[in-house]
Amino acid sequence: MLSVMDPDVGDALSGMRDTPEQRLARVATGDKQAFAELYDSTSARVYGLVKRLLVDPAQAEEVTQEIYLEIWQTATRYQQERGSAMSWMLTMAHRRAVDRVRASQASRDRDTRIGIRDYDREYDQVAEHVEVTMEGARVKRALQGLTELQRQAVQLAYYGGLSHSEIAAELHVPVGTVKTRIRDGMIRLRDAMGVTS
Amino acid sequence: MTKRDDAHLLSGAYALDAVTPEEAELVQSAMEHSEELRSEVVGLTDTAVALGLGLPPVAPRPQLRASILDAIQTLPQLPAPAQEAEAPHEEPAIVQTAMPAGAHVVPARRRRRRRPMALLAAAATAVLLFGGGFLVQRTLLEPQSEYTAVVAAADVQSARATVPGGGVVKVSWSKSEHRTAVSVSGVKAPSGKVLQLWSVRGGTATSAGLYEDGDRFALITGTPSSGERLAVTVEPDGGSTQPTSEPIAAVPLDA
Repeated sequence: MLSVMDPDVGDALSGMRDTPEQRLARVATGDKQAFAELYDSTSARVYGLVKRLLVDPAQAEEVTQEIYLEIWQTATRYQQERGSAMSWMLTMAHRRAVDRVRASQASRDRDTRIGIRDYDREYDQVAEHVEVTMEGARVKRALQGLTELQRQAVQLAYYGGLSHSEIAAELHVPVGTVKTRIRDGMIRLRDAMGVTS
Repeated sequence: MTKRDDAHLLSGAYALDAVTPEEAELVQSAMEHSEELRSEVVGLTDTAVALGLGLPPVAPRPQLRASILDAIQTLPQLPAPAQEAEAPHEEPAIVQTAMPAGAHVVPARRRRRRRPMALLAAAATAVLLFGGGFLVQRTLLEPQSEYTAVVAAADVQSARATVPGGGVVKVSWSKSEHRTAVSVSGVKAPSGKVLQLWSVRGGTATSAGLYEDGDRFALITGTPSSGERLAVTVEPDGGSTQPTSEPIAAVPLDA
């Protein structure tokens, strides 16, 4: 019953300079070479995000594998006009990583502690990191433009995988306040980073 | 405060995956009726992606690449949307194919983001990765004979669990047949709800398809791996990407 897709026997070299969008379009036709290229060009981004959320390398690898298998399976659903391939993949990656964080109370407790203790230091590390990317510098600057509460709430949500009610408990503020601060903070970030949709 | 106000207030938390499943549904539903909200959610989702791009890249171990490339060799892809519309709907459902009501009118961005998982839970002809590495699919073959082949196989193994308040979930599998059969008896999902099957390994649940009223069994391609459990939850019609309620039964599968 399992149907193995016909391998794309087209010129493998033609893919060498493809954008992620072009690669994803080829992946959607069952092209395994394109999938390998897509993995090579994006896996450090995806794994970096997942590992930031899950901390544990073994779990991060498991979830990264789930993400790439989902990319393989659902590449036919990707629509370029609705956003970049990287955006599609990182959105999927974050959701999967958050699902894993929430799947275990123990890991949630652990991540909460780590999130609270480390996020300031983490940002110092990012700043000092020799390989810090342009995006990293831009994000760091934009985050500095938020109020303290906005910044903490956004970081705990995105980098810690905490839900709004968990953030409320950590920061000792009402849930409603967390929701509005996150929204205000995200709008401010959007404007500061010039995100257009 | 109206529901629409609630949904709007949640746009940021929604973009960061910091909402409950119920709130996510509320936002998705509100986006269908408000272009303003939809546009805001798209922008904030892209902003969240920028936060991800702000992290230093970390290269995974080379073994992961080998493992993933190996896994896709036998992992079929979902059909393109146009082909999906032509997929047959008439025959007896094994793993049910119902899409969430109104899914076809959900606009744009969030749909793209949510739909793949909804499809993984429920797609016709899709083959899904089970947590333990076994594959789930809706078989298009004669169902009853397949079921009989599993439960009558010489190497059949089975496990069962009772549902509190009445009902039994029985799981049978045969390595020689390369099939797992699930039957749920004495349980009826409330109106607007559906039973959903999950492969559970460690703390991770992976959908193994829906089990709707009237189904006598579900067939899953593959057999469980050691330590895997099959859980049954009650989910909103159309199924969920992750369990939203406590399982009514969890069957340990000691392969």
